[in-house]
Amino acid sequence: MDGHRRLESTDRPPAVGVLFNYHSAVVIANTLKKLSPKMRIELVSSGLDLSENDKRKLDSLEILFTQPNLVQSLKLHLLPNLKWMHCLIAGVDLIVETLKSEKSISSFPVTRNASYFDLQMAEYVIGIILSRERRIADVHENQRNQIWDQEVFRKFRPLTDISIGICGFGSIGKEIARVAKTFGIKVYALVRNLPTEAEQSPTVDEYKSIGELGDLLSSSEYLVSILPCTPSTNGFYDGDVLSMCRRKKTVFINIGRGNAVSESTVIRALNEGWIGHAVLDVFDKEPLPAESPLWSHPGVTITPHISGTHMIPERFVKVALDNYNRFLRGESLLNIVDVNKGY
Amino acid sequence: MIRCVQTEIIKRLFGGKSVNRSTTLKMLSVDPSSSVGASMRKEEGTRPLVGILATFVGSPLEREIADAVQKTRPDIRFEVFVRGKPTISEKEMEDLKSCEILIADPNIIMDHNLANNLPNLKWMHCLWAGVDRFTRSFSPSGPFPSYLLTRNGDFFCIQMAEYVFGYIIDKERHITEMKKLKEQSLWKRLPYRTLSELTLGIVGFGDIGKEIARVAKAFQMNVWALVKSFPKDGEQGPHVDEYRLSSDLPELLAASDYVVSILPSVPSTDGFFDGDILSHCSPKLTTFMNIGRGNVVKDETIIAALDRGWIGGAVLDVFSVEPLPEDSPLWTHPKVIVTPHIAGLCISGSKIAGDFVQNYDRFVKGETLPYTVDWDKGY
Repeated sequence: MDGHRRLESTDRPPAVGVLFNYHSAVVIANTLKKLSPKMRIELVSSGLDLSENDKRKLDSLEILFTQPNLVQSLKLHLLPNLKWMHCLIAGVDLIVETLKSEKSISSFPVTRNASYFDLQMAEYVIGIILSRERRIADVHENQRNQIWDQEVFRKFRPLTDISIGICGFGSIGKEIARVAKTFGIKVYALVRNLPTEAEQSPTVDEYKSIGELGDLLSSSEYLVSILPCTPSTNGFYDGDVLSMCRRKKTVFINIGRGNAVSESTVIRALNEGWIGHAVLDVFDKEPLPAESPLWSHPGVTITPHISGTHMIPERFVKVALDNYNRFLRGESLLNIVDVNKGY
Repeated sequence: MIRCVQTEIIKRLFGGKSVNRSTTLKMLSVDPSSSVGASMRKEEGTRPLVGILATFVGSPLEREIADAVQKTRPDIRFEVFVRGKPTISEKEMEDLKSCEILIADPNIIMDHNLANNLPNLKWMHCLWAGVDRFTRSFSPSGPFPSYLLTRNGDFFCIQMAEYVFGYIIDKERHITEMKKLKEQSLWKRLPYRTLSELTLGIVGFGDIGKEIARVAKAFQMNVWALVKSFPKDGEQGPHVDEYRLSSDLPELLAASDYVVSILPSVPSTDGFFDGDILSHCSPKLTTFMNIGRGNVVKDETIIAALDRGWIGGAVLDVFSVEPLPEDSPLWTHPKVIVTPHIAGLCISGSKIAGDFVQNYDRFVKGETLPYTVDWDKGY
């Protein structure tokens, strides 16, 4: 869907509004200015309280770079002059719901920073795996006690001996597969539609369709879920699904969204011995409330939604900048959010 | 003659031709390109006497290797199995000395003074990648043993890379710290760097170094390699951004967020990082990693470099003395990670068997063997 209105010919290109959490917004604006000196940038104050001045600015904007949670709360999608909105965040589920419920989706494209955090997330996943397989925590413990125990650590499992099942095979999943293959890990990918031979990636050993989820679960030492938050992924792993991990006591890693599995499912799966461990970076409620039983469960590792949150300014604005140039030239934009798909 | 049950069964199955043990050993030069195997070919109808001298606590590795070989190649017969620890009996000693081919743990060879005491040996294949204890026991000008020495290569490489990146990512992404935060039920986001923003300096650019470079590139790191000579045009690897010579070590150190030493232990690498050289690390507070050998840097040098703010941390898998003595200050320094020589130690009998079988076929054809140790070089 490429329904952007043509730009009215004007003497100068439209201003770009930057509405983002404040400290990052300044960095982003400065980076954009540095890389594209002719760009006119309107820094709109962030936060949910907009001054009258801010509102006037927003009303006049044709282009807005922003983040999903602000779209909904500020009703940015209703801005009268908006011709293009770019989300500087990959996870756009909040926007999708808003845009679907309002009929304004056809009036302008919404694009997003898809590829930016992929490699960081792959780093995180491999880091978690290596930390476990090489028992780094135990090594530190031995050092604290000044114990030299070579024999215990000699018997590590090389990554060439393990398999990873990747659920959610978009750009992040593909990056994880690539990095996993670098270490010789066997890769299973869960996909909606099995690719043709020509479409298959050399970094995937076996593609599995949703119906073959059980196969994938029972074959993987590690399961990584990068499923986006959509109605079809709600409770994806709930019920008895994870019992299929029993064979290898799979380690379950969730870096997608918290809706895919409930707390009680995780705890049950651990207590029943279905999964060997759970590494959770995302939750239904974030920050994870102090009273959540996940904090004290020894089979759980908690990371505070940091698998992919590091911003390197020049790289961070790259898609936005590319799209800005395309927009001005009337070319099709990259990474358009498909509200029907949800991402 | 000690025979294991396995060998007996195999002998019975395959007609039990005994190997001609009275072969006069020709004294051969150690030029790796000489066709040592050719002398074996001349003895038609006989097969070389193969033995294994190995130990691996927790599993009888020597059996594992022999089984794995024999599964695919019943023609390669292991006649001698010696556990190597705790002792080697006189009979076992005799058997070892009768071997023409030996798969061995070089440390056990050293422990029992066998390096120059294997008169029939034509080829020794070592279980490990590091053979320095062995090679450094000879005077630099020789005389060297007359047999070929090969060592393990391939599968250690990726394991060493696992170790290196395991510790780099653990540090950069605060994996250990997040465990502590969880214990306190603390949701705290720590800022981090991605590997793609960092430079890795690799000192010692053999197969392990190249593998580490390959993996570093998968993470889009910037890679510098210290080499003995610049690669010719067209021979530059795809995974290295900058090559430097030893004389440029200061520049490499200053550019690197992480430096990994995989230098072998040879006289020219003794104290390679001692003195003030690590002061060049101060711009980036480089983290110094050593997975090669402990001779390249003294414990005191590391401590001083940390305390002076030259390096930001040290991850050490190898030391001048191993096990690391109790009184070494490295144990307790807050910025030092001590690991007990475990970067690449996962042993798989079937992998060793695979390597050995490939080498064996080359050996009997008189071809060059990969990972042949150059006595002059020491590795």
